[in-house]
Amino acid sequence: MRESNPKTREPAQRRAAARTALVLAAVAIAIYAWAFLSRI
Amino acid sequence: MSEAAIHHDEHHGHHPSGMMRWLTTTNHKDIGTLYLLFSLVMFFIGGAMAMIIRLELFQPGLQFVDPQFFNSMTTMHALVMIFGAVMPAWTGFANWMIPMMIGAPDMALPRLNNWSFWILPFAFTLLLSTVFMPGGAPAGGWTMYPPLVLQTGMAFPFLIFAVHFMGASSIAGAINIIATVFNMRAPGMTLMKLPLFVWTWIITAFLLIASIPVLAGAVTMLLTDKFFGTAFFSAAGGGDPVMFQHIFWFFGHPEVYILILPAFGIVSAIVPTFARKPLFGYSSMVYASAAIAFLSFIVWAHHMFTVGMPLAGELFFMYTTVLIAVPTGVKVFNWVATMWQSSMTFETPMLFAIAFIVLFTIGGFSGLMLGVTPVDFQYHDTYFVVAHFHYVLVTGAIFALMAGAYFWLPKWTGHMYDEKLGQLHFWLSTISVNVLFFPQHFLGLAGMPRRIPDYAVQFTDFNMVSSLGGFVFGLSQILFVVVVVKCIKGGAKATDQVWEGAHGLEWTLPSPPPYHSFNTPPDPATIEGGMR
Repeated sequence: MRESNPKTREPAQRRAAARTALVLAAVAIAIYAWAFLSRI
Repeated sequence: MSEAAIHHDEHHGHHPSGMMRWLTTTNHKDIGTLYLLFSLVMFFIGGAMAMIIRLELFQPGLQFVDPQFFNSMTTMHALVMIFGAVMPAWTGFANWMIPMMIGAPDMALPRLNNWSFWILPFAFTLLLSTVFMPGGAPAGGWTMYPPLVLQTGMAFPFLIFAVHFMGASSIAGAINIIATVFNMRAPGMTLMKLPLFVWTWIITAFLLIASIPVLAGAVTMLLTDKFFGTAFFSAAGGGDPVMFQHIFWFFGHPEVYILILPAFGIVSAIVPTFARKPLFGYSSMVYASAAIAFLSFIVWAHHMFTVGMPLAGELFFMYTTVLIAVPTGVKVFNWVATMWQSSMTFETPMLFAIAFIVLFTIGGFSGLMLGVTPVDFQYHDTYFVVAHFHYVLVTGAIFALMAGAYFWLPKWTGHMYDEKLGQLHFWLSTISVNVLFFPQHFLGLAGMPRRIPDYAVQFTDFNMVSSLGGFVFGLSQILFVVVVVKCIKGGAKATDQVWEGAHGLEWTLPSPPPYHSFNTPPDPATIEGGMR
């Protein structure tokens, strides 16, 4: 990796951040699907 | 990474230089700068469109542009200012400040951060290219109501995909901010010690994640109605055009708070700094922001009182709308109480913050008037509405952005800005913005409709006054660019704390801060809570 951000973050912290992001992305996709599909 | 490796990174830099630095950067400060520059460019493009609108409306009759182009200008001005200027500016501030405020080295998801930003230039290239297409840019209003919007020519798919891209960028940015604040806070930085700018941004991020997908769903349905033979919004095919308005405003009203909540956070940082007092009612500010966010989802049909709905619906949406005045009032009273018997000084950020409190409150009051169903039947679709939302978004959101820019410029650049020029920018802006928008209340009450290139002659005087105010306001924003460029190039050296009354982790870092903010977490003893 050319540009590294300082890795003061623990691996557990990074995994937690990724989990948070995945859950939020799933929520966003679910709301999109609801807005779209509920009209069909 | 060891301390030694970090220092190696700081001094020798593995990051590329020139264009590649900006294209490939994953650094929160670089990305914050990109967002802010992008939003400044969009502010001037949207502003140029506003100048065309005010030029045409200077006199009755058609002088400069044809009605189709005028309608394109009102539509594009709104889209550019909302999605291109104000929203990216808040994300730029968030990128720059949130990691420093919570004691984190960077955002939690740096590559996603790069992607969030670089989607935007593509989105706006799609949108702005429509101005040069046969049939012109979208002209059906930023609200994109069918069936009118379905008459858009070649520009239509460009509009839909641009909105999708803007939405994807916003959602990715929002996810990053929540992931950062929830996972990257320094030890000792509990939720109720977070600066209010961080709090208001978390709440904004949740609003984005909940509302932008609804807009995306609505515009996808427009796309399929136009090109794939569906009839979601066509009565002839069993659909319902009014349904689009409900879905759009279910996004649209939270969007208003997406634009203004971070402004509340910035004002809550600036007022205590220049009043040299802790913020009055920190926890009530947090709860008021959350209450505003909740209420924003149950008021949407106040945009549609005249469309028609059952009496119970009209009453429900009127009461919930008026209820928003309570948490908003809590905030205004808390800012005033913070200033009460304080040792205030009036540097440019404080001037913009005080102007925000007074002028945003005017916009809030006219919003209350519009929220009352029976009187909305008179005001709906008139210039009164235009005056209302410009008080909220220009003297609200834009003034808070200006306040924040002056507040943090010394921290970002390491130089103090030119205070005299800053004050000149403030006074010119504040006087001219009122000359621009206040007469529009009278025009609306007298019955002048919005989104028209021509008007009856009795509206001439107030339109002339409004246009003159608009030209001065537009020109005075060039002063802001002068101040920013001067500040980047040089000026008096800024101290770490910059402002005498400033509190918080970001002010413990040097000015300008190092490329990576907190390589080691800050000492928990330095974390103060409830100050701002």
